[in-house]
Amino acid sequence: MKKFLFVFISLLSISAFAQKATIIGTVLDKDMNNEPMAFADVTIQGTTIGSSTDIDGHYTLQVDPGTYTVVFSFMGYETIKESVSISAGETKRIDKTMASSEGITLTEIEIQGTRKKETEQALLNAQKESVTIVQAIGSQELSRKAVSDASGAVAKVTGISKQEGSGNIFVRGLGDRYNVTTLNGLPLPSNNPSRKNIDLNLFSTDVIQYIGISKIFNPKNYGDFGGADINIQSKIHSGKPSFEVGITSRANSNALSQDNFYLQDGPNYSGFYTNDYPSDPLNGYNFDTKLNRVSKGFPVGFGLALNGGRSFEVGEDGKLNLFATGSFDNGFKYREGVTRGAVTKQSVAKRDLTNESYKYTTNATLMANLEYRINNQNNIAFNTLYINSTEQKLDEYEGVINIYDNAPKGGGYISRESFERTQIFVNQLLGEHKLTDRLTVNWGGGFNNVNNTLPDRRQNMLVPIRNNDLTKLTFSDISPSDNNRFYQTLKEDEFAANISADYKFGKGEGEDEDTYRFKFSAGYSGRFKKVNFEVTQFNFKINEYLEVDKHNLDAYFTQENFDKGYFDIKTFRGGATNANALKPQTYDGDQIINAGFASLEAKLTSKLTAMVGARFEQVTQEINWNTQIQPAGGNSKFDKTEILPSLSAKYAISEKQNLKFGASKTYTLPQFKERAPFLFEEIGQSSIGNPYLYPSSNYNVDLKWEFFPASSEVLAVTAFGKLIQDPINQVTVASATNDLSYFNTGDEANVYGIELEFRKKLFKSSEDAEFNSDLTFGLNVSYLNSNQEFDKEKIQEENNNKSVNFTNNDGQLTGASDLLGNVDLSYFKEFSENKNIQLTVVGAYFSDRVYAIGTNGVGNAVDKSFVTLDFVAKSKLSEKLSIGLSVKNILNPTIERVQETQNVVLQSYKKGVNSSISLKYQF
Amino acid sequence: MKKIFLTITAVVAMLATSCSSDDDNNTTITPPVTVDPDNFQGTFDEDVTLDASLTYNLSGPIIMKDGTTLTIPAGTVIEATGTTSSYIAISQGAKINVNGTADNPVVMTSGEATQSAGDWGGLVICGKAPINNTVDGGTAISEVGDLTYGGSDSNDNSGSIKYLRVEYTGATFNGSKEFNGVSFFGVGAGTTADYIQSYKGGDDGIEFFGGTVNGSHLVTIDHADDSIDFADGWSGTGEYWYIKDGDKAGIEGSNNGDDAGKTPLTTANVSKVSIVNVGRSKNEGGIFVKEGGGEWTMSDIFISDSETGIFMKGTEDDPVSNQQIADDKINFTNVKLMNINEQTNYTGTADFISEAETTGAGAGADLPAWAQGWTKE
Repeated sequence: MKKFLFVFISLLSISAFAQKATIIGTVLDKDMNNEPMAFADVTIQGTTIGSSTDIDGHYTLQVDPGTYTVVFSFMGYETIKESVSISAGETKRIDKTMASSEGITLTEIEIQGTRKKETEQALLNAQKESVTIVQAIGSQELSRKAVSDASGAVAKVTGISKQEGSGNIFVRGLGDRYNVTTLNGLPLPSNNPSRKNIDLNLFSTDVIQYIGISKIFNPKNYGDFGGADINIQSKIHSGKPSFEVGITSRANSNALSQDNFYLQDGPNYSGFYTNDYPSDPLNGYNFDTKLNRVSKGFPVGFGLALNGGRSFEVGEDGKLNLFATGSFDNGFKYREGVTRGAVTKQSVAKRDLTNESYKYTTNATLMANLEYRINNQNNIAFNTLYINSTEQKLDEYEGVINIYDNAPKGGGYISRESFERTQIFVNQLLGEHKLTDRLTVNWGGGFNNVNNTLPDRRQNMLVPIRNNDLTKLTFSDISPSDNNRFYQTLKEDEFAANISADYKFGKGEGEDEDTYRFKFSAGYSGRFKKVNFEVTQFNFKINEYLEVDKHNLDAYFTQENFDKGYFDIKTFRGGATNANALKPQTYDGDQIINAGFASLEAKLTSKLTAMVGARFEQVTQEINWNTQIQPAGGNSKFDKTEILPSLSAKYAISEKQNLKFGASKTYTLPQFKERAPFLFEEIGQSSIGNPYLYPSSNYNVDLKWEFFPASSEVLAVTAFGKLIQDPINQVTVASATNDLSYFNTGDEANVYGIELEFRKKLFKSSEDAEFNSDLTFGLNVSYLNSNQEFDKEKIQEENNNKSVNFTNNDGQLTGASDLLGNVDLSYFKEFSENKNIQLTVVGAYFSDRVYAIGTNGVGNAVDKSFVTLDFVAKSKLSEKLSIGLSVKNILNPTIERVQETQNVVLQSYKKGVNSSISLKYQF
Repeated sequence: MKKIFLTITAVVAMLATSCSSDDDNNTTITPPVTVDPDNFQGTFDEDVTLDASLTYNLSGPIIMKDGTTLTIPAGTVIEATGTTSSYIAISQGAKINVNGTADNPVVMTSGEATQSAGDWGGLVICGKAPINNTVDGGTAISEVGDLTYGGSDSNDNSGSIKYLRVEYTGATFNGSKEFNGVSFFGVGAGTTADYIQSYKGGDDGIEFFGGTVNGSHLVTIDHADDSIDFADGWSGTGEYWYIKDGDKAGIEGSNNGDDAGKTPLTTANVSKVSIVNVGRSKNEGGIFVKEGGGEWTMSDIFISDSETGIFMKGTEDDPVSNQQIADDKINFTNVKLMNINEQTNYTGTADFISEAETTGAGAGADLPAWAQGWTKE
């Protein structure tokens, strides 16, 4: 059998290469202490033959016998040309060392002085070389498409869509809980208690080298994975010293169209604002912020970014690379629309409101990366990242609050003034040591700290004094909590450590002498997380229902009126007479994950590479709470031990075509918030955690065919399938109040589909042209089918008798669009060495997707499909100055959510067109 | 001797689900509780009998677990503080025996120096009788207390309540999570509910969330929301209800808020009722037929000093209630209206109200004889 295989493979090789000659070699990077240079282009001048070097700097070209000029090129480096004559069957070796160029023309303005792993070509090569199925998007592509943050970035990848109004990412229909986000391979904390993943909007492209998206599981990665592992690689400096300043001005057409842009009193322009409740909140009206809205002038956003890097020689072999960036951005948004809810089976929307929403956001980021390349073998890096991100929002609602109770004739008014601030502090120390040719050790340790606060959220609800008389309003008398101030803090600390070793063996012979057939990897990783959540809410119990002006509630809430007994201030534990009144609602969580993995990658033949591996994970999640729902407190804990096998393989059909396969088992953890019986209240909808929730298991299979017809071009088709056991969904629990909660809603869900990725240069100026121009087209489309069964009995059995009254027995996964597509067309033209322009049009589409599963006879809530179109122009005006213009959401579609079956529009609004102008100057 | 300390730790609910063979899944929930009568709170997995000679200071939740009985002798006074965190909950399978008498009722009241509505939660009783806001024969989560209720045992017995007065209840979490004076969640017909008063509540006085329990000799005085409410498939008989001073409806009856036609339908057989001076802040009539209504047989109803007698929404907002009336499924006979502006705001053509002389609960607008002595006005 073995013999047969050998003969078969030999025959294949002979038939393929009989008439050919081979050029091989290694390219080194002089700027990197003669380290192997990955992703350098090696082409044969005057032909379409070309390749790129792999991670180890190796390349191979198959040519017909003859005389050629081999061109070695890399952006920002001097191009090298060398002539070679070669005869049939011959193999010639050409090794080169490349050095960065002085005063070279850069086609991409943003990336001078940074390592070139972020170019589209380089990342495509990485995709091609990888045994696993990885897609990546680098700063070059981000810049071309004018993507300003990481969430926009990943949405440009096949099969990924972004949920409106959040940084929530869906990968092949799988939402937040199925994804994992890391920074340089170490975990990133979430900025939102509701989410597992950080809002990718927080990562401005200034700090990103590239983003890698693995849609199949690699045993090196965390096992809490189902859709994608999103790894943000932070920027590292290389090459010449650089310093760059950029300024941006941006505006939203909706915000500009307002005569006055309103926000609440308190938070400041910079976003560095905090506010705790007064020291004596119950015995008097001591709150220091006003309730009345404030006009905020002209709503035009501003951005300033500074970044620079420098490399220092250290001794003979060493090099220190320093990169630092600081930026501040803000923006103003406005939208108006309708919001309806509590729809009955008979199609009556019990809540029917119009909504005006003013939003002001800020993001300040500081990052520094220090990389010390001790020598060719050893490398240590320290990364530190601080983000201060805020969202200040003023929401005003008017209309029917509850058609049977409150403001039934459309006269009610609700205002909510919120300010959410998230500070994230990430520190990482990473090391890489090539101990021998065969053995490499990687390690990393990280400490993350998140401080998420929602200080002084203010809510007021007014209703007509007499039914149907909309001119005279007073406070709602349904509940004291209708008028409240709310203070929330979420603190999260996580320590993470990884260590792994790669050992290569099975050294090749002859022309393969510097390659190995096998790579064995093994390692450990640990994550230790502590979460602390605290809420205090002050309810204003109204005793005198006087007529009030909705925009002048400060006239009512005064110390004088408090003294007169017009209102009392109480928490859910009582007023000033209760000793415990200020004891907050809390939950505290502890999560410990210890994991070990081993994998073996084997080059079975010259064409077939396979990796088999397994990961072992031991997870403990414990949570303690004391909340208004369970004022007696309680706790819940689960332990889970998982063995996660995986297999991936790559078969090189030809030099330009690969077939890849991946299969794995992974799991999905519930989040703390989903297990804590704390009531999160939004306008008209509350959700509460379920302590009985437990992890789901995922089985994943992928098969991908990819074809790289020429440099920077790709055509890839992937078929995939997933089976999720005990999937977690958020649904309405059968209750007297219709709160949302979380359940393992059935035995299984499945998703299968197909993805297409296509990128082609439609036009390219000839090799001899003095100045380049080209036209590139990119398309990615995914089609998927998802289904899950809902099991009422299972829910009752597993959740201490709680019930969910599903309308349907099965349905789609929430967030899964059958059809997703992204398309872009980009034209580049060079006018002179330092003058060029790039024009890009980007379009995106998703088909209808389920937002919430229908219960109690009511259909699913569905987000309706829409198309977005963006236009981006960039131009380099001189060696140092460049300018950018972007117009996004040009079509400005109406964004709608609809209750199926009942046919009620639940939400409808337009986001407005966003425009920006930016200038960059390089010193 | 007089100080009896109870220290009880309750270990609740193990969840072990085997979803796939290699899952090692183990969820435990353990609320640790330490209780004494001066700081009367706790989760009990054994019977508790109170002592009428003591005043109990309720400062947190009392939760009686499945299989336990809370016995409260005549004359016992419980004083509560702590708004929504303070309540008495009888879980499914547990019982409460309130053994008050006409001369010596059991009183659950506010412990605040200045008493006012909403000072504490109230009494919550959860049974296993059918409800219609869940899967057939299934359970639901109570508005407050995070307890399950409902099932298929129509004759379920949650104990006996006689001569109980609850005062200053009705603390609320939000507009839909509200404590009532006494909340009957899916309580079965085996339970006795006779001679109960709710006085000055921040929300409803007495509310039936599904279930089959009958309620007689019920008194509510001065409530900030509805006075007596039945919903979610309550199927029962009520007689001798005296309702005075309420901000909204005197009686609010509904079938189901999400699906107005959901079965089992609310089936109300209520007679000998007086409703006086309701709709003070918002006119919802003496009686509000809401959210599909159900099937109602109402007789000997006296309503006075309110705006509308029988109130309901138009066909667009509540098509099912209007249809139930058109189909002769909701009827009011022997109705007496005094100082009322309109008999009903129903706009259809069906004739479902017949007026006649009646004294309602016994004495028209006045407190009837059976309510004298043990109630507070």
